[in-house]
Amino acid sequence: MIAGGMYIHVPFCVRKCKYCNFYSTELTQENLNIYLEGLKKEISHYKNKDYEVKTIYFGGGTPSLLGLKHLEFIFNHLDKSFNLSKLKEVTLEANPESVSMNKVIGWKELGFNRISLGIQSFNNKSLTLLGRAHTANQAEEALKILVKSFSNVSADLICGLPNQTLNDWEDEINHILEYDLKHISIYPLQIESDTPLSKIVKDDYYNKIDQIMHDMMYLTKDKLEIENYRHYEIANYAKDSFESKHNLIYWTYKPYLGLGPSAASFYNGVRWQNTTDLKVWQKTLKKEIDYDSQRLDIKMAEFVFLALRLINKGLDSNKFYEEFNVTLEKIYGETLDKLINYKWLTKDKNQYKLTSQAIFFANEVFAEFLPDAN
Amino acid sequence: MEKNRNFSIIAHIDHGKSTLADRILEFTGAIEHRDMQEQLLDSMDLERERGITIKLQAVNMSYKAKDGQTYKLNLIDTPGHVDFNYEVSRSLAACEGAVLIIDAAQGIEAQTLANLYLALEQDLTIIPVINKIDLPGADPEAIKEQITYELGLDPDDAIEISAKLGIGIEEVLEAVVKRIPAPKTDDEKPLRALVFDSHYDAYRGVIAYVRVVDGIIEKNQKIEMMFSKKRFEVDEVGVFTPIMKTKDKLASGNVGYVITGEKDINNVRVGDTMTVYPNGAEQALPGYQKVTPMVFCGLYPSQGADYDVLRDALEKLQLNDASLTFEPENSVALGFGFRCGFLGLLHMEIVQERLEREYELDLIATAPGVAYKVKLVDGSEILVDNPAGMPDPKEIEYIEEPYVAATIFTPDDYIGNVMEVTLEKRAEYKEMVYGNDGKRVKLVYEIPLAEILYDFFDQLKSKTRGYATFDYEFIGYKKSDLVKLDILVNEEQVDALSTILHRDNSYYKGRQLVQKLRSLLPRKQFSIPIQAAIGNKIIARETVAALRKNVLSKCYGGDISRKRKLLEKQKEGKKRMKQVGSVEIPQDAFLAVLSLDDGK
Repeated sequence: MIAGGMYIHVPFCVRKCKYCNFYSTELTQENLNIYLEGLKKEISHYKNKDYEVKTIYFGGGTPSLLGLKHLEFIFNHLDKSFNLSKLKEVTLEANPESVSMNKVIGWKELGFNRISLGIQSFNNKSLTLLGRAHTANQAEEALKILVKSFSNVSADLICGLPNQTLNDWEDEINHILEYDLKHISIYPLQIESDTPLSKIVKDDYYNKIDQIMHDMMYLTKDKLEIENYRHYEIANYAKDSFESKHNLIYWTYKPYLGLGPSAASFYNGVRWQNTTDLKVWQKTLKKEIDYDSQRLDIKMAEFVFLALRLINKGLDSNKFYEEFNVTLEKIYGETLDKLINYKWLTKDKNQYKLTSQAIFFANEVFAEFLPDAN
Repeated sequence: MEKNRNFSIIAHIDHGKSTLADRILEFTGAIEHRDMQEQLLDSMDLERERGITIKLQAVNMSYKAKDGQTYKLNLIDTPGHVDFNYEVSRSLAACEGAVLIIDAAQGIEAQTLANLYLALEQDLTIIPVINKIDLPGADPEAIKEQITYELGLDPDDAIEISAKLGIGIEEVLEAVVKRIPAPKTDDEKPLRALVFDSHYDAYRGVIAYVRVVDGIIEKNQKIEMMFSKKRFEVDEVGVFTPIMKTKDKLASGNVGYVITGEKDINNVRVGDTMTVYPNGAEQALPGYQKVTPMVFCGLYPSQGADYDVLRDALEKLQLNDASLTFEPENSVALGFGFRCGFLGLLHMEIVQERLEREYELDLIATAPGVAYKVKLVDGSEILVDNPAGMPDPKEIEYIEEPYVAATIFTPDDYIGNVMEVTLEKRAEYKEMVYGNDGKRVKLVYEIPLAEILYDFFDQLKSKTRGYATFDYEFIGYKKSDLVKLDILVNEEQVDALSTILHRDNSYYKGRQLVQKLRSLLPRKQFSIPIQAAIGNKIIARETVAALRKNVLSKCYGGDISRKRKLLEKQKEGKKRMKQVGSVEIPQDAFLAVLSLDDGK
């Protein structure tokens, strides 16, 4: 028996956001049929009644665009091929424009127990800039409906938008706090090349954004922690026991299967990614295997940097030993000492954690554990 | 010659010395008002900018007094800061009298007293002048009280003026001719002329400023410098009006300049006496006490190629600033430069700025320090005036540092504040004496010289509202628990940022240093750790966060492979960046370390 997670990628969007460089396609009847056909095929391909699915996560794209009957179709097929009896958390990513009372009731009946709402901002100007398909009003309405039916609702916000001031950001935080949600994710805006947003943003933005982002990040931390949210992962805050169980699978080096075009998997110690194009995926179920993920030095590095993303728990040297049968200090003693010396890490018994100053440049701390390229 | 008057104006900073000098020049017609740059005597840009006089000047004027006689006045300007007491006494040695300015609103302040004492040492006639009587806060009667009780001068001698509005200028000039004695003269004796200043002219060589005490100096005369024994023929003599004006001769009692065509500044030293050759005077005039530099720092050209320019510039500055010393040194981080010695911190800043402005040098200065005596385990003793030269702690038996006896005069209201300042500076209390008026108190402390380098005087001033005066003399070396604090930027020790300090202060200072550096170092594509260390022990750390590309991205749908590849790229980039160029430390950072205050 293997226990793990299940990720289902839904590649449809009403429209493409201006900052997004991920694969998505138009929701047409034809595309939908191809998609559902492909999922059915992929599910039976992986069929394993010994795989105990603890969490299911519908991500996207915009999973809330799918009809209730499509979701039911997917659940039925999952149930046929995997052991769903120990399911703890079933999450649906939703966007405000596709949330309605009907759907919310249906989601609950289908067995979803967690909704993650992509709000990004409560400011209409910001929403226009990002090219989101909803208004601030729609976001408020969606939240009101959701909190009535679900006790576990999460929301995403994006910080560091062009022209966004620290005060603007504080308003956003205050706004989301009004709903007393169980979980909040905060992402810094990343300007990806070849996105419409990258063409609007001026050089000046890049010059200033670091400082602003830094201030926003620490403001967020201060404000949410006062309201009893725990900063349990770099980009995630949760009230007690409402951490995302599915995401914790990623950070704690547990297996997960990814279904749908471009979905990523980690299973039997190997990482792979499905091909991106909907039609190619459906026809071939082609995947790209990340061969490096089988190298021991890479595995150890991944284990370490994923664990360090967990701000409170951090990296447990006992768990490292359980996984690799060699002590953490033997492999990374020098690096750990150096980082502690820099005050980028702290050590408390067998736990290594990022210091609060290092959270802002955590990537650099993580990179220290990767083997040098040859 | 009884119609000659040589005098100085002395004052606390900002009490209006330069303005009064300008009015006197105007009044005597030495210069037309329209020709005047504001405050003409401050001829260096730097002086005008800072509003202080550093380099002294001498001006010759004619004044027709009320008695119908025309007098020749020589006004010799003086600097106002404690670092330059030495130059003040040089100027005063060329005078018979001094005009002491007191601000009608602010009253007597530290340098009023310090300068008065210097003038009294030279036995000068003092003319007290109360300036700025036009100010709303002016209280001449209260100032007269101070003159009586704090200076011990006759308040009836005080003249009330406003240099700004030109009120009372004539009274000052009348007092100069009536009260200040004419110089004693003897043209028959062999020449003795004191070189009280000099400057270097690219075409004419060294221009010596002299006060002729005995005899006459004239063109084509053969002269000898009594100290350096160098001999010259006089090319030209003259006076400053304030522009240089040639004269046939300068007789005893006169102040003027002498040009010999000599280019080597070392041969016409300030403080030396000129006499005739042969058959010169037997006894040189009392020269100036040779001042030993007390504060040291390294000066480095930021362009290595400027090394020779810097050496040349230092030599020229040394010509009229005997207190400046320098010797070549080199640093791993900064290349070739000079270890320079100064009278104090302001002196150091002034020299640096003069080098940068007058010689267009771009300089890096290391943190100031003193010279330590280090007793080694093997029994030998070395003198270390540069933290980089401090041996490994394991080799050191003990370290001794220079101590000074600091004498502080303060009104008794501020005794508590003075004690507070001295307490923080490892000062050892020695004695306290009340003055005759029962108000003014003399406090004596023994303080490590290094402790007064940074902000001691500033703090003393600010905590006593400017009333405290402070003087110190070197009393010897004492054992101290000292450590060398090293700064590591991106894991590399920056030897120019090392300092030697007392162990008790090291943690605090180390933290302060790394915090300051963090705010000043340019950000790179990678984060830069900054650490303060004593030996191998890290006592403080900070990080300069990297420039973007370092933001925390979302892990879309658990796509760890993508995330990892980004990190790998980042690591590669960081390695490349490190190879391309290590972290440059801007001069700002060095200066910040240098001017680090205690931030209280």
